[in-house]
Amino acid sequence: MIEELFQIERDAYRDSVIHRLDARVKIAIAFAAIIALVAVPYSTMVYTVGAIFFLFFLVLWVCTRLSPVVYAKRLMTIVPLWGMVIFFQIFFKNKYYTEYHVFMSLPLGISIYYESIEFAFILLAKFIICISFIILLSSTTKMHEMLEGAARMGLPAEFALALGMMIRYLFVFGYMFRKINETLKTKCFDVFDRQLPYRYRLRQLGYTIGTMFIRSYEQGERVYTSMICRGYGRESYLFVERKPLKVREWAFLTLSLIFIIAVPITIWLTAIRLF
Amino acid sequence: MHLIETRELCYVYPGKVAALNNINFIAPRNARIAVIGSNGAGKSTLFKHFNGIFKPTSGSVLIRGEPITKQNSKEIRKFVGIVFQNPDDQIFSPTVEQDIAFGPTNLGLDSQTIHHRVHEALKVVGIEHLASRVPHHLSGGEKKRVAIAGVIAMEPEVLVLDEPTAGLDPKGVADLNTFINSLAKKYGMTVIFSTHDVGLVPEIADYIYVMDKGRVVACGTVDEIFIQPDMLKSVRLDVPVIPKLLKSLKENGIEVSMAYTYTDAEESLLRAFGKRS
Repeated sequence: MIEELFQIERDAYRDSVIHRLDARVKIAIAFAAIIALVAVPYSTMVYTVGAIFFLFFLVLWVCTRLSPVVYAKRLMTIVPLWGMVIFFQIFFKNKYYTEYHVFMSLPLGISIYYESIEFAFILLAKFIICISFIILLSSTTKMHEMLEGAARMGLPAEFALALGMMIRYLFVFGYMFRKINETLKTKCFDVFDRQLPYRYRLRQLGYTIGTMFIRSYEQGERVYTSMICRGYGRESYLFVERKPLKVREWAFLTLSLIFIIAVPITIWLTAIRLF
Repeated sequence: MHLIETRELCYVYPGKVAALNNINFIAPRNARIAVIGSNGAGKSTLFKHFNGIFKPTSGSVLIRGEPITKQNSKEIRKFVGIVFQNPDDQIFSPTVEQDIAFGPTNLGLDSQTIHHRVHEALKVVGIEHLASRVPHHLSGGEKKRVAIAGVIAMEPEVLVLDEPTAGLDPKGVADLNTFINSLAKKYGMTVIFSTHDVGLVPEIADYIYVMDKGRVVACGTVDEIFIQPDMLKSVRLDVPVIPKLLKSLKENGIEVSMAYTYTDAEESLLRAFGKRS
């Protein structure tokens, strides 16, 4: 997971037209796409809207000049966890359908319904598209730029300061974790080494995690002291300078938002006419 | 009236660990003061009293003749800037620029003034090119400079540096020496720093406090302190190489005058060997 953090950072530090866009533009597009897709009613209409949004995402991804493998890997780390939640939907009825038809009956009175399968697929489509836009945002925007963008868009000052510190110390502890790992390797300790007794490995792992906790506690104390030294108080906030968007960023944002809003509305109107 | 003065200052850590014992310390205006001592001598603990982070168990700390109270603590922290040993403890914002702006924002300045102060501080420590960088991409020396800039941006009159050379390469140490000297000469600041690198002291200090086990065991000018090798050895320190060498040459019959800095020693040796009149 720690290496993933550094990999995300490396990707965000690359250069492309999408990387160079102001963070606010990317945040607005990502959230607009997510809101638009979530707002589409639970019907097969989601597939069409999802497919068009996914095409839009693919165009943007190609512009980032990042490998599709990066996207696939990141998606694969997220999908299994939420995929299970989505998978279990096939066993349950939900409020979006009035009639249910049994697709398969299982022992212990468990049934799989056609409608539930459809619902799970719709959910999966929505989930993948939403996550794809988040992956696009995180892979092309440096963390501090994302925070500055959010602060410029009105994120409360208290949150911005706390998130800023979180970003800073995420990397400090990332490096600390790396160093501890290197020390363990230097001393030929491998937690998966079956030649070493299980209890011993567990104990060493416990010590390592404990050390991390103690170090983070001590670090917290020292950081707080140095914050106090620099006048930290209730009114403290993260300093973010004003930065107007460029004309081409406004143009890109406007066109993207029009597209994101127009697609579901057009498909919805077409569906109404068909009926 | 002294900028900083401690009178019979004592401090006991929780668990009844005595850290400071009857410390009398004075920092006048535009002075360069070194606090030397081995590990655990109480140098960092003493520094934390200078801006009210620690409250004395007994005795007093006076800043410009006034004791530190809850009401004036913000003003005191603007007046006395402390740079800690580990820059990772002091750089807590996502970018260098934002970190340096942290102090000025807390002083309630407007964004234009903050911007000006940040860029002035970056210029003073020579890291304008690092403004938009993230701290974890910086080297140890660069982080140290960012930490100093963060304090400089608050425009303190006294700069306290805890082990400023720790973890720096020789070039970093040389740059820091020049910087500390410029603070006193160019900006009229009082600089107080701790170190156990005695070789560094004559280059950047006018006055020295020697600490051991929470006590000030000696204080005086560079000449007064480094003339006492036995005292320094008793507190696990040593005389710098240059005066040690000159003393040895003198004992072996070579007529050299005592010097503590590199430039003075060069002058003294050239004169002794007849290369300069």
